[in-house]
Order: sequence, then structure tokens, then C-alpha cells
Amino acid sequence: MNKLLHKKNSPKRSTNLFQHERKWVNLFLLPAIIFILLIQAGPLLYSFYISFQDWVFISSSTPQGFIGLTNFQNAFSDPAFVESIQFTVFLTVFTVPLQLLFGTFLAFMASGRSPFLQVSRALLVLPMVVAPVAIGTLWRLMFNDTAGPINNHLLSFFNISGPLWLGDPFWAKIAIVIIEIWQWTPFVFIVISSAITLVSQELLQAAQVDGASRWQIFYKIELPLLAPAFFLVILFRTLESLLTLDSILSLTRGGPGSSTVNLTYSIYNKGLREFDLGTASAQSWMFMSVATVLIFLIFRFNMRMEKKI
Amino acid sequence: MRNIHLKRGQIQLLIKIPIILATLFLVLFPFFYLVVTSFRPAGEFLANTNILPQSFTLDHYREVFTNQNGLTYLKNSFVVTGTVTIISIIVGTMAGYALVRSRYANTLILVIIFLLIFIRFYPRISIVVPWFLIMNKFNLLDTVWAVIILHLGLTVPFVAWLMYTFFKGVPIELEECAAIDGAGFIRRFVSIVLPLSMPGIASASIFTAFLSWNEFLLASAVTRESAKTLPVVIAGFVTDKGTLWGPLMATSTLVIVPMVVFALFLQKYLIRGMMLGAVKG
Repeated sequence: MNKLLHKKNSPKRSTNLFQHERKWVNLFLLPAIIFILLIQAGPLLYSFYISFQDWVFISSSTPQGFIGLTNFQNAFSDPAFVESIQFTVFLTVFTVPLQLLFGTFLAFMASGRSPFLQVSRALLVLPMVVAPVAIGTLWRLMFNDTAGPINNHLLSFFNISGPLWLGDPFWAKIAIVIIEIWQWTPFVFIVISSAITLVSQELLQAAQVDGASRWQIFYKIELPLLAPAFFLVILFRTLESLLTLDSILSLTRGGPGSSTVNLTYSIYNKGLREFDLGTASAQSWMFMSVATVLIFLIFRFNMRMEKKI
Repeated sequence: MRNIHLKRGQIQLLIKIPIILATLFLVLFPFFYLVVTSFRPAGEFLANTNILPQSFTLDHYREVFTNQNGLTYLKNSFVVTGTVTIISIIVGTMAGYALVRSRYANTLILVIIFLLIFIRFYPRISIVVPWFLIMNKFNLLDTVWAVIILHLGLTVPFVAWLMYTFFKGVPIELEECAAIDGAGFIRRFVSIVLPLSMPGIASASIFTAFLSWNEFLLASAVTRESAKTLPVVIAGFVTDKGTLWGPLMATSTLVIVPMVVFALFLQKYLIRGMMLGAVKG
């Protein structure tokens, strides 16, 4: 869009307009560049350097020398790390598709102009805006096996004696799946909701006039038009699901045992509890390479959509 | 035809209403229960498992504010969120505008945008160890400055990205007219661009405040005791020995309330920040 506007101007005018401005543009960018270099780029490079060092902070306050790829190799002989990767994948595989399913269903259910639907849409978003740490504690209360309402009111209503939830490795995992779905389905919901409003009403009415059933309209018209939005939502949710930490930390503290420690959590423990800085840095760089692929896809897809419009 | 259509819509609404009401219950009940529990007397917690307590008490809030340093932590959260929001809006808005009006090669712009998106989404755990060491070295561990600096690294690029996408939609003609009348870069930015950008700035501010207020990982890495923000405090109430339910629920309520207020009254601004990159515009 910007490019188009520039083209419209006579070349002389825009050179004049911009020649004096180069220094201002650079000056306006400078503070942000300084912030990014100092706060992000510098420490990232430092962490890259540490990942090749033998450095356990408890035993020494300086790195104990270059050890090549040893930290990267050690990462995989660390059972906690491997286990945490498994749980991270488990969490993503079980939460993202369900978030997508529920979010899309809700988006179609709550689309419309009636005041009831408008108020509902505003309220359905709430779980997403609350600090994940608080979501974890909130559900710690809900899942409490003696006093929590899930066992005491919901399950006992159906005459089921509830599991120990957070005291049982299997049910603790399920509890995390449940809160991740609870918190992030709203994200899918709002993205798909706003994508639905962009689908042309004429097209849907035309299909209706031609005798298409509601299901056919959904399947043949709306779904393909919503495909780009779905794709981006999947990328976003997958990426953020891999990065989850806060809610797990306050819901289960990784327990019982280490059954609910995910990737971010295990790197956090390695670095800030065991102070094995070298290994933690190496692990975080391996994690970063996977995340970078997803971020690059998000970027590419954004740029493509921008060009189309 | 129109009549039939209307009826169909009404029937649809009749099916939709119970489904939506059930979902609303699932969404809202945990919040309701959290708030109610924060007023439940400690003795009732295990003894009375009814949804509503027999009596209400302010003990937990009193406990948080008197014995648990709650006021300090609340102040920390406000200072961090306020400072971070103001600085990132100034620095990020300038950067976003500069990017839109720059004549850098397209590739350079793309690289910059990629970096901004990257910083928004990369695993922040990677800078936790270096920052712990740096703050330790400069004696900044456990100060609000440490938290503010780390949050700025996250929010400045984000605001730059958001404002860049916003400024791209602002027509350049007005500025050109002003330029012909002799208004310089700063003058045009302040008196033409900024007033037109208030919706974008509102979005950026609210979302920045949201990020900083809720952020846990970075804040927990560089604070120990006196500089903790509320999310860090919450995590601290859940210990290996047990859970301090009353103070925990009271503090969680304190963290949740401002964001719920934002979400209810300024939702469109908050949502724009959340969906940046996921939806065009």
C-alpha cells in the first residue's frame, strides 16, 4: 500500500520530501534499535557463547572453558529433557486440535447481531486475558481432590468419584490439557469469528437461494475461505503451546514427580534451579531452532496475505 | 422469502442460546468461584464444600496486605507496567513511523519486520540465563529496573510492529500537503500523524500493559523478594509443602481484576494486539 502511494507521487516531489528526512527516519529508529540490540541480541549471543562452555554456576562464577558440542550431546542424555520433550509434544497434540474444534464451533454458534450474542462474544474472551499464572492457581482450586468443585459437585452429580487429579501423573497431564483448552479456545474463537465476518454475505445468500444446505455452505464455501485464518491459528497455537510455562508452574509445579514438566520448564529448572548454565543454554538453542521455523512460517504467511490485499 | 429467512434465524438462535449459555457457565464459573473463595474463611475451606461460604471474610486480603508485603508487590506491578507501557509507546511508535516513511530497500524492511515478529514469539527462556548473569553482575538482581528492562525488550519491538501495520493504513496525502506548506518531519509527526493514530496507540498501550502485567518468566528470573511482581508472588504461594489458599486466591483476584476490566470495556483495543499477525488489519 505504501509503495503504491509513493508511485502516485511525482518522483521529484517525493525525493524532495524524503531527502531531508533520512536523518530523521534514522534518528526515530535509533532508540528502538538500541533497545533491541542491548536487551535481546546481546544476551542471545551471550547465551550462544555459554552453550559451548562448561559452566555450572554453583561451582564457579566464570565459565570453565570451551567444550565444543558436549552440552548439546549431553542434552539428550539428560532423561528429564527427553521426557519433557515428550510431554511438550503430548500437550500440543492434544490441545491444539481441540482448541481449533471448539473455537470454530463456538465462532459459528456465537456469530450474529443479536445483543445476546454480542455480550456473549465479549464474555467468552475472558480466559485469554488473564495471567496464565493465575489461571493455574484458579484451576488448582477447581481440581482440588477434597474441596474442589469438579470432584465435589460436577463429578459427584454423575455419581463418579473423581480421580486425585493433581496427585496422579496421568490425571495431572489431563488437567493441564483441560486448562490449556479452557484458556486458549477463546483465541481460536475470536480469530475465526472475525474471519467469518469477512466472508461475503452475498455469496452465502446466493448459495442459499440455489438450495445449498447449511452443511454444504459451511463445507464448500466457508471452510475454504477460512483456510488461511485456520492455518495461521494452528501456527500460533502450536508455537505458544510449545512455549507454555506459567500455567503449568502454578497448577502442578511439574508434578507429581516430573510428570508434567515441559520443555520450557525443564530448561528453566536446568538453568535457574540446578544452575547448569551450559546445558540449559544448549537446550534453549535447540528449542529456538524449532521455534524459528514456526515463526518464519508465520512471517511468510503474513507477508503473502498482505500482498494479496 | 424474507419472512422464511427471519424465522430460520430465530430457530437457529433458539438452538444457539442453550449451547452458548452452557459455554458461558464453563467460562465464568471458575472466575466466580475464585473470587468467592478469596472471601471464604480459612476454617471453612475443607469443612464446607458448598459453592457459597457460610460467611464472608476479608481476612485473606488483610493477610496479603499486612503480613505478605502485598502493598509492595502491588506497587511493583503498577510501577513496572506503567513505566514499560510509557517507554515502549514512545520508542515503539517512533520506530513504527520511521519504518513506514523510510526509503530502505524492501528486503531490509522485511528483515526488520521478521526480527520484530521473531522477538514477539521466540522462546524467552533463551535470554533468562544471560540476563540472570548480567543482572547479577551489575547488582540489579531483585530491582524493579531489572524487570522493566527485560519487559522493554519484549514490548518495544511489539509496539514498533503494531504501529508499523497501523501507520501503513494512514494516508500519506495529508502529510504531503503539510510538507508543501513547510512543516518539517517532527511537526508533521506530532500534529498530523499522532492525532490520527490514537486508536493504534490505544491498542498498543493496552496490549503492552497486558503483556507486562501478566508476564511471569522474565520477572521471576531476575527477582528474589523485594522486586517481585504479582504473578511471581502467586507462583510463590504454591510451595512443595502446600498451598496457602486464602492469600493465593486473594492475590490471584488482584491480578485478574484489572485485565478483566480491560477486556470488558476496552476489548476491541486489547484484541487487536492479541491478534496481530494472525488476522489482517
